Amino acid sequence: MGSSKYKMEFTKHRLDNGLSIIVNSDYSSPMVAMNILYDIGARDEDPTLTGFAHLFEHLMFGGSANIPDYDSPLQLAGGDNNAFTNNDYTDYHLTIPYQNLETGFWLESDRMNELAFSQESLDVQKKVVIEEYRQRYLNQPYGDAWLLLKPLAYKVHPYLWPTIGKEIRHIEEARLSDVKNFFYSHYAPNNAILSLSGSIQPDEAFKMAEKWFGPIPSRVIKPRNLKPEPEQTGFRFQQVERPVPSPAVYLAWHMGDRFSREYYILDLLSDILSNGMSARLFLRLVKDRKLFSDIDAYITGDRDPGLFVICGRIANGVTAEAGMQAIREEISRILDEPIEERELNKVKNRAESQFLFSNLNVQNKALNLSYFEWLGDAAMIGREMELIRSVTIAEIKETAAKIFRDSNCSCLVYAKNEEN
Amino acid sequence: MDRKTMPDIKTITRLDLVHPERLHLSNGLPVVIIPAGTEPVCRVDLVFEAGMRYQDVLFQSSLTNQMIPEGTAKLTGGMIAEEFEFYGSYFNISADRDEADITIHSLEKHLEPVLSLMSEVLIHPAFPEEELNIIKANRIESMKVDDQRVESLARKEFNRLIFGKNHPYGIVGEIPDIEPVASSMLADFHSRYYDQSHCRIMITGPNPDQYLPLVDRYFGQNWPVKNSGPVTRPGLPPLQTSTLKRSIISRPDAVQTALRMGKPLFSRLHPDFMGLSVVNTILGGYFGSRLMSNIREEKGYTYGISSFLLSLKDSGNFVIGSTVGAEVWEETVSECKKEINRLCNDKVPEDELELVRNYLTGQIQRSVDGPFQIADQLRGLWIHDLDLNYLSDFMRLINSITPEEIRTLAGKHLDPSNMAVVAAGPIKNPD
Repeated sequence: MGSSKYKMEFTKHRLDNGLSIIVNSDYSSPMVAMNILYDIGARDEDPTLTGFAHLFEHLMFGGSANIPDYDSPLQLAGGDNNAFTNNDYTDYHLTIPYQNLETGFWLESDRMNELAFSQESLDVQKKVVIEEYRQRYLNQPYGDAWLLLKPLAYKVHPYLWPTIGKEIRHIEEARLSDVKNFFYSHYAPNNAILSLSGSIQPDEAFKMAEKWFGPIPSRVIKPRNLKPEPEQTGFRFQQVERPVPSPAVYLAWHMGDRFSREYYILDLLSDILSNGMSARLFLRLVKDRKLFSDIDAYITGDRDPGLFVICGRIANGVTAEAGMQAIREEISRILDEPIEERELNKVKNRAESQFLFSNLNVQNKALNLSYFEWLGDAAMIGREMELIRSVTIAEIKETAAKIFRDSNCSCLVYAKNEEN
Repeated sequence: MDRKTMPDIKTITRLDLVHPERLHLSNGLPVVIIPAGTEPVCRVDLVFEAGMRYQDVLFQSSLTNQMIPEGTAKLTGGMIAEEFEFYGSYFNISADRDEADITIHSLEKHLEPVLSLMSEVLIHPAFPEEELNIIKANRIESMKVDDQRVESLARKEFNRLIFGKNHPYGIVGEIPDIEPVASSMLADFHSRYYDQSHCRIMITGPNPDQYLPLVDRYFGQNWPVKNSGPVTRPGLPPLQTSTLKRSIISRPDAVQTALRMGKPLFSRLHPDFMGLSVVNTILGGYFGSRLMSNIREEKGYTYGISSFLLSLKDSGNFVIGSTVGAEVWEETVSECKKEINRLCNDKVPEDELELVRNYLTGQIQRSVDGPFQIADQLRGLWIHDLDLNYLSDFMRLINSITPEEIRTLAGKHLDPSNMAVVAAGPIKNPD
């Protein structure tokens, strides 16, 4: 099976105010997807005001200087939208019939230009985010796993708090002046990437972008100066008691950043361990040995040095210790026993099809273009497959030996609290 | 520049959708072909009338479905999974109330070996006891997690109230029902329902003419006929909707309350379904809906609230769902009733209706963005015997429905005093 080259045609342009624009024409769709990625994430937050980037994402829907309501005009134009915030960036995307694309430009440019900054909108969105916090993180078994695991694995780098925020109090305490300050320090054409995919010609898109985004002034963006996470020097362990249906273990090891070769190597290794029903951890620990009821391995995929995570729910009648011991044995097999070429090819083939399947509609394509441009160059999208294809068995073993050390590991255990 | 005035917008009235083609395989099996997509990937759906409504014992349908790729006389489940995964293909199974599906997503270049394996797995499953025990144990574990979520407690209870706790559409399997399911029951279910007379096939991709001979080789020519007797196709008994209109599930340790409120309705075949979809959208079917504006945006009671029209093959229901702050669930219910009454009594303002029209027509276009999304849409229509032009017809109705018709439909079908309410959460004195 030869390596496949992937090609997505696109055209790039930059406005004088610094806004980057990327356009992929795809006339098989009656829609245009518009994606705006702002280079601002939870890692940029003040440690005393965590969760703010995400709260702010909600406020972006509370009206801008000239448009009191974002959603209604968009819906009137047949559009739909959403947004998400992660550690590294905040993404806003909409899809709209191509006939009404200009409405998308009108809406997105006005909220990049100036928000409405209303106390009322802030008060409501604080409540909504607090309900989101409760629904997703507190009202679910294992829902607080990342609230616990992050500060265990990170001590210095801001990845130590989750996107939703360290605690509800930080959200409650957000003030309107913080909102204004945050907007003008992070929301700016020179801190954003605009991408479009769908029934649109690049020249037409650039013209509309110049008209609507061109007049927005550049803003001063303070250079990012994040403290790197110091090397971990000892095994970290935390056990919590919760009314969970069965015990669970979370193991996290520090790894390289998004630009490192380690990223591709460990992405494939995590697939060998847990992507699919023939993956090692599932076959051996769930099916053969029945130690776990489910198990997963993945990389966090952050821009700064991230984590390699293995987490699983312990099967009935098995101890968390026995489960962890079995994970250690599987890691030893990676280090000490041969990995077959066929197994590596399997995960590479799977990565290739996953990549193709993730580029089938205009919304995903627009997001992928913004994301790769944010990493440095949208053209990287065409090189991903070659990078994945080039990983060798020797590299996997070497990298596994480097990261899978106890002194590089944080371990969280959920013990079952029987009282509830 | 003028940033206050919205650019002119156009109303979308036409849907340009690919033309599906209806054919038959050599053995007469009905096939729909959807020429869509630009990337070299394709999908084959095998849809069986083998959903939960046909089962003799609980979990028989879903476990049969789930066990199909778990082993044949020659191959273990692990070997089957490895082979599919080696080709970069995705083998998916799912079972709902009406149908059970086997779907394969494949790179075009590997379609042949993938179909060959798919037919082997489908036609000769062994239902190994050992694998079944693992699947049952894991199902029990994940149900334990679900049973701690107030959302799933409310959803299950609502289903029982709406369709009847012993009705094929209302019955809900619980953890103790899993253990008694034996491998022989699955083999029996498979032999009765996973055959040509209960199967339809859908093929989607940029070059479907090239896939058709392959699909015919494996599912048209080399599929031995097992069932020569009469086809098993039990009908559906009448609904057994509960007279109980309020059910409270007390979970003192929960942080929020999950709500479900609604009533039984009808399937998409009903002449009022399309119009009522517009009514439902206004009420709770999009981000700017009346329920969202009232309960999330004005009151901040919830992260989200929505309403749905669920269409099964032979019935359906209307439901509002939300998870709200523990102390405000009753206020939420009365606000929901208020919003429904408003739809039944007052004509929807023209500007709101225009917004919903345009939102919905955009939504229809979005629902067919990408080849496999088109397949999802057409699959749902085809297997429930709806016209494949349904989406175009729906678009026409959206653009022509009047405020008076909307009020009439709401009054006819959505009487809030006749709805069941389920609340699961930290509620103290359940009545």
